[in-house]
Amino acid sequence: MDILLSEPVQALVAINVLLTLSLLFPFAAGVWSLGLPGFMAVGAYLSTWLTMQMGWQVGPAIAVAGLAGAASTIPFALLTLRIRDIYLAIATLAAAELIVLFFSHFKPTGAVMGMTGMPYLEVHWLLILATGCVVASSLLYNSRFGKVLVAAGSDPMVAACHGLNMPTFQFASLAIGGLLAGMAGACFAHYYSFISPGNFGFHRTTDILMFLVVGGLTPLGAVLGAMILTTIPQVITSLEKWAPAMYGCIVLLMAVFRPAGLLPKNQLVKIFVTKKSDKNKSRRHLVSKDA
Amino acid sequence: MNQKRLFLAGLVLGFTAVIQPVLAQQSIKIGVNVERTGVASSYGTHMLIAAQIALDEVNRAGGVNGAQIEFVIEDNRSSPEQAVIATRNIDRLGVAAMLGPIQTSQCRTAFPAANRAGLVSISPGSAAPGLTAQNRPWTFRIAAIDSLIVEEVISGLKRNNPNVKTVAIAVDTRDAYNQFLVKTVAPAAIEKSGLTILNKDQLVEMAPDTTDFSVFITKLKAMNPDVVLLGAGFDPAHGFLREANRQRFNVPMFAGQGYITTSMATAANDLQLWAGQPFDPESPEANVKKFVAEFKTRVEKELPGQYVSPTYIDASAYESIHVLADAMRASKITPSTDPKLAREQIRSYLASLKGYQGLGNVINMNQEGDTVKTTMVYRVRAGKWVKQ
Amino acid sequence: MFTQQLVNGLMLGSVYALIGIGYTLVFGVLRMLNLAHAYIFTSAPFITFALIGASVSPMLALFLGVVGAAFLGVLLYLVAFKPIPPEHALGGFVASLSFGIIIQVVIVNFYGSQPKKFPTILNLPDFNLGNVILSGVQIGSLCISASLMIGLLYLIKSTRFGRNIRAIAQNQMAASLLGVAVPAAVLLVFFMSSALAGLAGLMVAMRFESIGAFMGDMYAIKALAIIIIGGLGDVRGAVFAGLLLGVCEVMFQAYAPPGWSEAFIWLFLIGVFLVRPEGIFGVGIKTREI
Repeated sequence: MDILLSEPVQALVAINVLLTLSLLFPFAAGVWSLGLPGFMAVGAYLSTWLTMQMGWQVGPAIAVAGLAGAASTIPFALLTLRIRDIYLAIATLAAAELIVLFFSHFKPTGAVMGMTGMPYLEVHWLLILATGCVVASSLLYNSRFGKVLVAAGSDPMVAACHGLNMPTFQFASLAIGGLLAGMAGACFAHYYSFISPGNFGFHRTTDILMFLVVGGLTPLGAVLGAMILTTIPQVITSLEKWAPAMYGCIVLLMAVFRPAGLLPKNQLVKIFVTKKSDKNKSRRHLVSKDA
Repeated sequence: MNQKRLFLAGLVLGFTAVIQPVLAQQSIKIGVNVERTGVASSYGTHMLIAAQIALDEVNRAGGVNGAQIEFVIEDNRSSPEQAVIATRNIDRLGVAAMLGPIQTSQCRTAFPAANRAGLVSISPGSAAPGLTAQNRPWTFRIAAIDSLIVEEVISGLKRNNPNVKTVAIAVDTRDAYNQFLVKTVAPAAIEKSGLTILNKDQLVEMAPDTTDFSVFITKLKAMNPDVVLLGAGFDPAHGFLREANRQRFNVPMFAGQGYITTSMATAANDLQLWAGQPFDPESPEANVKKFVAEFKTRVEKELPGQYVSPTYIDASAYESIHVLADAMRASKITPSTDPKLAREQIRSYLASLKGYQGLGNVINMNQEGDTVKTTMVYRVRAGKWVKQ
Repeated sequence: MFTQQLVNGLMLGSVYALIGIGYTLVFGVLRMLNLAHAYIFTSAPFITFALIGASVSPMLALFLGVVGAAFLGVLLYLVAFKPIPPEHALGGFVASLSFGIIIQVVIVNFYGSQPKKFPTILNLPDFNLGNVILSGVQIGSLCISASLMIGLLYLIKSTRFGRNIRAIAQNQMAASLLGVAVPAAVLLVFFMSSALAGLAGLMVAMRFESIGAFMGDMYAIKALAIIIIGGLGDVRGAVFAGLLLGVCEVMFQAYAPPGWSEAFIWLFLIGVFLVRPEGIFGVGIKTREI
């Protein structure tokens, strides 16, 4: 349990929690946005510029970074008007890659060589921020707004029939995601004292996606997924060069045995629903939703 | 009779079981923050072997002030975030010093953390400009300084090709090391030697995932340069050289660090590729021969099929451990020395390191925490690196 | 020079196309993206390399490399996709990604992370046409890819198996009710798609005479983009988009300012989507209804 006392592990968990939550909101709303690295990069670079060139304190820089992250979701939002699901996922991935590519060539932020020298952010601030976001996310998710969001994600057609303005909710979910990712990026920059385009590659997206899927599409699920999968590699180090393979096996098993995640939505509902529902369990659909 | 023997045996076993942990505590620890897995794992696994050779030599010769030294190895998984976690884990175990990380991207995050923690650290591999300067006073490098190497390499190249006048530069768009090399370090050295850069504002930029270099070779050919500065990452460079061979683009070329490997020479084949490093694996000096032979034996045993001759990273790691051992001996450090005190003593020893006899080279530490070593210049001849 | 680039572009494009066909076939029948595809691409050259090292004849080693990749693909399906219900597409991503990571770790642990020289198996001569140099391997690869693509298009369009796959892609339940042996067809699709990936990997290995544990990464993400552009589920789309984009990438590298060759593929993708959201030949996923 010494692991939990390790500050860098706590910091990484905190950042990963923020990132996973940032992926949660769009996905829960049915928007498969993989723009995460782009928003994170925007937050990281902007906050660094604010603290280093403009002399701001780290706190306000993080806040502004979050807002910038949210703002940069606007072009992504426009994409959602036209496309869905996997297509949207790849399109948002493309857009995020373009953002990071921009930073790779943008000399004022060091291009590929990155930026260093930011003021250091203590771990306890990271933990406070992460906890605050978890609480806020849970409240939001369980509020009317959140329920609408999830409804929109489950069945957009029905939700629209109920008079909900789909685009608004989808934009909102993206913006929340962007806010969280932007803040996470700023935290990353100021904890690790160095950022470069390489930190915002596709591997970031796949890592966070793993956390979300293993944890489940709810705030607590996201937190659980991030915590568990961030700490597992720290405790299997005795396997030396086989540790990453073990991690892969664990994630594989979790995805296969609980594809909906550890704490998927409606989990609590399931516990209270009567045995009648068991009859339905055996009906395994082969059909996907569109036919 | 059997009972008595059994009892004695049990007593001895019990005694050793108790004594072992007590004995084990009586060793000085050195942390190794290394890329054991991930994209840089080949560098990490080889470096570990080199460091281990030095460790065993020190311990065989009686250790340091009567105590053995042992490694605490932390895998940073070639990840900047993990490198910080590794630094902290190492720090918490009360090590006297830390070796590693190798790669710049890990050093960039680990070194600030080490500096904050007052943990004296040595990287055997990173060439990032200003890395140690920004993280004084606790971080050091026993690696290589680019500006010196490039100057020497160009001199060697010019000696062999006296009529060259122009240089064309090709660079990887996303490789931080090479970008800095071709945009900042090399131009100064090139101009100093009297050569002119043909495409200073129009570098031939190659995307990192380029698989087909024919486009770039063609572009370079069109400029008709006498020399090419190849600022490609390690993997892409192989492809570039093979393509240059295919297109019979036979001008002399030179590059930065990390190129002096068997695979690169094979890829270069008949091309005249120049590079430099502060280590010569074929040096006739006794300690180098011994190291190289031992390295080969161990790599073939522990990493079958992956043997390549030691690079400057491996040599630096070996040297670093010996330097640390000397530092500890000189400062009379023992397992019971308070880690903070030990680290401070090692730090001040490293900061004033001068004229240290390394592996076929002399090491001097400069004010920024970088070591200045003489450069060995190499060129490829018929698929093999030959020292000039 | 232009011809040279064109040939290089077609070569690159055919590699993308072969990888893309694999992705698209799997997506068509399973509605899930196989993120282990790139790692199966990487595994074939290593299987061949290992066999050659064990003194197996090179041609046999090549064949077994492709077959090995194919069986690896089947194993992937059984372990990572079959147990997951179709409504959990994200679970499929993550499961396949983990499987792929395991493959990569195995390769790194046995062969290291650095590229290795791949032995020259076929000593094919280069062809000199004026100032265009075409390597024999390049031409051979193009011929094989072309015949494969034509063969596959024919397979999909005119054979029973092809019709079955398309039927499953359109409506799995209906296809099953109409007598299509869905599980067997899906297995066969995985076998084929992985064999194609393995073959693409071997072609790259032979062309550049180099293999590395991370060689698949650069192709993977681009091939993903390409099949999206071509339209998921349609083999014609993968072929067309693959070739087009391979040629464009090389052309951009040759003639455009630096950085644009990396950016253009993403810009193109977004552009295609704004105009035609299901991709050029896309089937299966409707655009937004609201």
